[in-house]
This record gives sequence, structure tokens and C-alpha cells, in this order.
Amino acid sequence: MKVIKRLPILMLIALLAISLTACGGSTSGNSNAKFTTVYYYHPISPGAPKNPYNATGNSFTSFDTMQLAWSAILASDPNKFYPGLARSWSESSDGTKATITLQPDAKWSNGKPVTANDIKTSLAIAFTQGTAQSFSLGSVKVLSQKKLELSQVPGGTYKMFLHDALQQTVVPDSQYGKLLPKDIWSIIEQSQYTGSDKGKAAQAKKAQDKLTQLGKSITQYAPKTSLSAGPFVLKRLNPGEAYLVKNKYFYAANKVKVGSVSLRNYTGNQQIWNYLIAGQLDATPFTSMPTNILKNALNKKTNQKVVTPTYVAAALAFNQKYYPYGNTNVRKALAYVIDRKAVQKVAEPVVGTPSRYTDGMTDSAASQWIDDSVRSKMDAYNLDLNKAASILKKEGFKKKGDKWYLPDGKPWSMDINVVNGFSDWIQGGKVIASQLTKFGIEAKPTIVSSFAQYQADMAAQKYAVGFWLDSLSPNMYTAFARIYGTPDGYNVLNGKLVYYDQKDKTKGNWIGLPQTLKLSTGKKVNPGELTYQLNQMKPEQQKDNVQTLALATNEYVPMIEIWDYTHVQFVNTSRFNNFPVKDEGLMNNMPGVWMSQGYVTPK
Amino acid sequence: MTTTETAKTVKAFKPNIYQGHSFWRAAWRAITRKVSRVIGFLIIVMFTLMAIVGPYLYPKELPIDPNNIYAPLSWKYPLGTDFEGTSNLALIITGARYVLLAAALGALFTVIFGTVLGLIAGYFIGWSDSVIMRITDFFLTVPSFPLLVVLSTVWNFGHPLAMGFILGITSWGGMARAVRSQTLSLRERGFIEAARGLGLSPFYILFREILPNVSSYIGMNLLTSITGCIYAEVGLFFLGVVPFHVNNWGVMLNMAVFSAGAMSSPDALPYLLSPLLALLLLTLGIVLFLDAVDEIFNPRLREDI
Repeated sequence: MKVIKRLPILMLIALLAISLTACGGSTSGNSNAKFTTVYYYHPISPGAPKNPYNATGNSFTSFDTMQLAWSAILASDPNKFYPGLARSWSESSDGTKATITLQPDAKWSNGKPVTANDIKTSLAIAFTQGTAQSFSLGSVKVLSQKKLELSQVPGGTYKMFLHDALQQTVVPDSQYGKLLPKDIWSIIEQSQYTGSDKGKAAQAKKAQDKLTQLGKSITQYAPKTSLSAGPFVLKRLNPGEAYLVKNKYFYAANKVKVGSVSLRNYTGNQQIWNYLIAGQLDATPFTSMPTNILKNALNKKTNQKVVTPTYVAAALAFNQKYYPYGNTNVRKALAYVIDRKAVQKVAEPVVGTPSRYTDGMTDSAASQWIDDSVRSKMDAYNLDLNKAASILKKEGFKKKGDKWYLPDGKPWSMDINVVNGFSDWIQGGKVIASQLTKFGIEAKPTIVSSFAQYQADMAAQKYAVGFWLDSLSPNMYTAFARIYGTPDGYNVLNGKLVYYDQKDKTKGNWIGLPQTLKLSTGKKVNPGELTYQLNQMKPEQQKDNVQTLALATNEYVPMIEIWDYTHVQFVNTSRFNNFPVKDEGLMNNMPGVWMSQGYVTPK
Repeated sequence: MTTTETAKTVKAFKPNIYQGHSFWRAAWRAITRKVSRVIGFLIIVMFTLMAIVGPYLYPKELPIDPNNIYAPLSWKYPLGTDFEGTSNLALIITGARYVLLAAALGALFTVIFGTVLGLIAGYFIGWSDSVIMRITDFFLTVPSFPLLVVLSTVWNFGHPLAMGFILGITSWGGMARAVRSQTLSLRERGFIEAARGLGLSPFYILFREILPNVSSYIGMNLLTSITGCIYAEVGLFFLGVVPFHVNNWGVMLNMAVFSAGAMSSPDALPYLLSPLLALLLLTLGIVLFLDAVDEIFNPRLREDI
């Protein structure tokens, strides 16, 4: 995926901020119509197993891999979902229990019904992948063939329980059930023990290890046939494409008007650009591109650009352990030096907008959360070299000739760390380096070989300055935890907030802000605590915390937000019409979801 | 007359033709004999000058202009601009130093390792030959480009010396084998037998008797290794596995293809073609000049001396 330029970022964005896919139905109209697109998460690799838990598996969310429901991912309505294999759902008043009713007609592509047991097996697998733990799932009770009840771990207070549970992948018990030991649920129960009994704690550790081990073997599992409960089923795979045909057993098959789907392979963004420019893709997911490519794509009259907000921002982050970045005024001065408009114009001209404020969230999310009274207290850090110079002078920095020198007389140089293959970060890093060098701070971009290496080095406090994706989600806990979570030393351990100082290099605190921040309003706050509280609140209760955190981020500048991504997609109207271009929630999901909701009609 | 005295007499014999200004005069004659050689020579001189003075012609940090991204060819930007509006011509000129220096060093290392090991193996034969040739076989068997890709993720090639060294140590195998073959043939020739009979040291025989006879081959290999090293080095940068410098020709190719869309849209084509043009010209220069090198180092080809 290295060659794929920005797709690794896209995958990250996708995995963390977006829930995808769908179900569909069909039969009417031109049932032979073939819908061509590229799979958003990864290219086609014919040798990979047909397994949704495999990172490059030939299992395609929304087409032949289903979830219980699909989140619309809207900041204005975080609870909006489109039904998937679940027809309806409800939660208890305290949010600790969820009841889910499955689609009565849901069937696998072999004609066997989708039952509560399939869901139970899928959720057991979610424990082996670590996802069930992330939303505090405790136990699963099958109430009937089509109904089940999920409960949080005892004492769990996670407010997004139902929200996260609905987005779990569902796999057939007939294939995956045999991979799990018979006593899987007692292993899960043992793994959840958090008390002080040493024997039980040791048993819990053993159970957790067992789950991890199971998780690894499950990701390698290669089912012989592809069983789908979705609108399509995989017919053949070759290095050029994955070809799926309509699943006649799909519960809403009458809504799906597309006969087959071709998911084209790609080796990099440039190949997707070629398909797009040639008008070969009926839908093109978010793909980074320069302006000249956009222009060429739109030369094809049937290509229609669809723009929806995303909640992901790119920021220049600092490790405050490194001198002089521990000084808030220095970070502020740097914010005044960076011309964000110029950076975005070069780095992300088509799918980005310059960030207006550094506040820990994208401007589109901020418009829903930040009141004018709070906004008026924020500094936009617009380009102002004189202000930057005067701040630096006040802090003891000296300018000799064209260069700035640190107060101790040493010249000031900066490596801006970026990731190989992330061309927007590389280009952005280069422009920022040019701007800083022109101002008198010797800066240059430094490329790290892979994103995995980058994240590991970042956590191990090896970089003073580097790019970071913040915000990530309309969910405010997720958004602020990108700063005031593990990166700043705040972790949730057994349901409690724990802080690790930067001195312990193994705990991933690479930001290193003080625990108590004094705001201009006079209020003293602990950003980790405020962020953790968001986890325990319903969205309507979160506003005060969100505004305080946004103000703290603006005043302490742990990172300088450079650009917000915009979700730019294309649909091609030459072969199909009736795309859900006006439904932002559906556009945030993959085409399989559109089709299962009755959209996309062959011409 | 004792053997030692004889040796001294032989040592005193110095063929004038290889000494002093006459070598350069012969070289100049060889170059000017054909127009193609002159063109090749001029191209090489141009690139060498570019590498030496190029970086001084521009400010250390090349100016950027976000309003002129991928600008078309113009008087201001004779080769267009890159992703941040920097002149491609300036990038090519300032980038020549690293590319050429690394390639020249790479070729030099290739030639030095290859020649020394080839000479030793071919002359001493026996166990030293076996050991050296097995090592050579090993280096010949390991696919060098993938090895370079792996090495470049581990080591930082920020300095051309490091890059040159790594290019050299991965590509000397073929050279060593060829020099060994020639040495094996030469060591049986009469003049070497005579030198051995005179009790001359192996060092003297290797470097004063055999080496001049393979110098034409070495000279030509030096130049072809330079092109080989340039391709390998630019290839590494093109794959994006080595340090990022906007003015590196390989980085320019990478950015042009993977983020500027030069293969899909004509707007960014100058960004792709600029480094390609530089590479093409340089290779052309070297190929044209090779002909002259053969004559310079091979006295048998000098018709008019």
C-alpha cells in the first residue's frame, strides 16, 4: 500500500471515523447492469482469504459483508443509522443493555437464515479482535432466533454502547463457529475480571492471551466459499477485479436494481485517477488528487463531484519534551509563521480546506459545537510574521542575519516528520519547511519509511515535530482523545482514567502538556479528565466540556491544525442514475448501502 | 650482472608515451577525432559544471510559489514548475550535485573493489582466488536492486558518499569477474613471465604490468557504471525509499507520477519530463564519450601517435 500515496491515510480515516457499507435488493430494471467502482479500504489481492477480519481479505463491506446497521456519521445526528441485518434496536434507559431484532427475511447466500447465533458468534470474534472490549460489551443473550440482548460489562457506563455494537461485522456461524472453542464465552467472562483476587487476575490474563491468540488465527482463516448476507455475493476474483453478482437471498433483494458489481484493482491513486478520467467508475470513493486531475475528471460531463464534510484534520504536532517546543509561546509563534492557505493549496488542493482555528476539531464539527462567545476568545493564528518575531524576541530568541537562534545561542533547526507514501503530508511538510526557513528557522521534511514505524516512533517520543491526524470523528470523545488521550498520557484502564508522565517512555505520552491548564477565563482544567468525561456523557450533555477543550487547545496549541479534509467523491451518471447525492449519511457509506436502500438505478 | 642489477635496469625503463602532457594531448586528439565524441564530452562537462557550481547559482532554499503550481513552460520557468511552484530548471541544476557525486562515487567504488579483487584473484589463483570468487558469486547472485531497497530502509543515504558506497558494494561483482579473466590470460603472457623471472614484487607486477593492460576496460566500465549507478540511485528515490530532497531527480519523478498525475494529465508533464530529459542527456553524453575513452586508454587504437 506504500505506493498508494495517501490511501493509508484514507484507510485510517475510514477505520477510525467512518462506518461503511450496506445491503441491497434487486430484481427490477436492467438486472444485468454492472456497477464499477474501487474498494475503498484496499486493492484486490487474489491470494488473500475471503475473510473480513483479514486486513487485505477479499470480503467487501456493504457488498458481501454486512453489519447490523450502518452509521450515517453525522455530527448533527450521531444516532442516525440505516438498517443492516438488524431491522430494529432499542436500549435500556441507562444504556447498559441493547435489544436487537434481526431482519426476518435475512438469509445467507446458501439460503440458510441469518440467526441470532450468527450474531453471537460474530460478537465472540469481536472479542478476539479487541473491538468488543472497546465498547464495553459484556455478554450476549439469544432471546429467540431473530432477537438478542447485549449487555455491557458489569459497571460499564459507556454511552456509545448501542452505537458501536450496531457497527459490528456479521459472519456466518456455520463457517466461523468452528474456529471458536466451545467454552469461548467463559473465556471471555474470565478475561473481563478486574478485581483484586490474584488467582482470578492471573486467569484473566491467561484468558486475554488466549483471545489474542484466537484472534490471530481467525484473521488467517480462509473459508472455502464466500457466504454473503449482503446484496451481492463474490463470483470470481482475478488480479484485475473482484466480480460480485446479486444475491437472490438478500432480505431486500427487491430494492437492489444493480445486477453485478466490479471492484477494480488499483496499485495507486494515479490508477484510480485514470479510471475516473476515462469515466469507467460509476462511483469513486474519497481519493486524494491534485487540481489538474480534478479538472480532467470533470471534463467528463457525466462525472459528478459530491462533497460532504469529514471530521478529520491534519495538524503539525509537537513533542513538548524537546526544547523549545515545551514553551507555549514558541508554539504560538510558529502558528503565526505558517501560512495554512498556501500549505493546503499545495498539499491538499482538492480534498482539503485550510483550518480556520486550532481547536481540536474540524471547522464543520466546530460549527455545531462552538458558540460565538467562546469563538470570540479564540485566536485564529492568521499569518503574522511580525507578531511571531516579537513573541520569539520576548522569549529570548535572537535573530542574527536571516536566522533565528535559540536563547542559548544555538541555531534553530527543525525536522518535520512525515510518512513515506503520504504525498499530502510530504508536500505539506515541505511547504511548511520552506515557510519556516524563509522566516529564519532551518526546517526540512524527514520521511519515515512506513506509517506503522511512524506511529511507533512517535509514541516512543522520537520526534520533536511531526504530522498528526486529529479530530477524526463527529464523536467528540474520539475527537479529543486524539490529543488528550494516549498521546498526552491519558489512558482508560479498567474503566478508570490513568495518567502516565512523559518520563515513562513506554506509555505513549508524546505530547507532554501539563496536567493542569489555566485558561484565559481564569478556569483551571485537566484536559484528559474533561475528555474522559465525554465518554460518559450523552452528546447533548457534552457541550460545556467540548467548548472548554476547544478553548484549551486553542490557547495551548499542542498541535497546529493545518487543513481539514473534505469528503470528495464522484458518481458517474452515464450508466446509472438515482444516486443518493442529497443524503449526506448515505454518501458517508459505501455504494452497497446505497443500493440496499433502493438507490442506484440502471439507465 | 646479478639478478638484482638486471631488475634495476628494467625498472628504469619508462615508456614516455604514457607520461606528462602527451597523455592529455593524446586524449584531446581522441576526443576531437569525431563530432559525436565532442558532443558527449561537452554534455559531460556541462553536467559536471552543473554539479560543481549549480547550487551556488540559486538561494539555498529555492523559492516556492503556491500560485504557480505545475506552471507551463515560460521564460520565467523554462522547464515549468513543481508541486509547490518551484522552477523545475532550478531543481534539476541544484539536484545535479547529489545525483552525479553519488553516481561517480558509486562507479569509483565499483571499479576499485572490482579491479583490486579481480587482479588479486586472477594473479594469485589458488585459495585466494577461490575465496574471492565465492564472495563475488554471492554478490552476483543477490539481486542488487531489491537489496538496495532493503538497505535503504535501514540506512540513511543523506550524504552522497553513503549512497555511492552502497551502490559500489552491491555492483562490483561483474567487474571483478571480468578483471580476473583478463588477469588470468595476461599472467601467462611473456612479459609477465619475464617480470616474475626478474623477481619483481607481485604488487609491482599487478599494478604496473597488468593493470595498464586492463585500463581501457576499467575506464570504460567506470563510465558505464556511472550510468548504472544513476539509474539505481534514481530508482531508489523514485520508489520513495530514501531521504526526501525536492531537487533529487528520482524524487521529482516519484512526485510527478504519484502525486502530480503526470501520467493522467498533461499539466504536470513538464515536472515529469524535466528529470527524464536530464537523465537522457547525461546518458547520451556518457555513451558518446565512451568511444573516446576506449581509444584514450587503449594505445593500440591510437592511429596517429
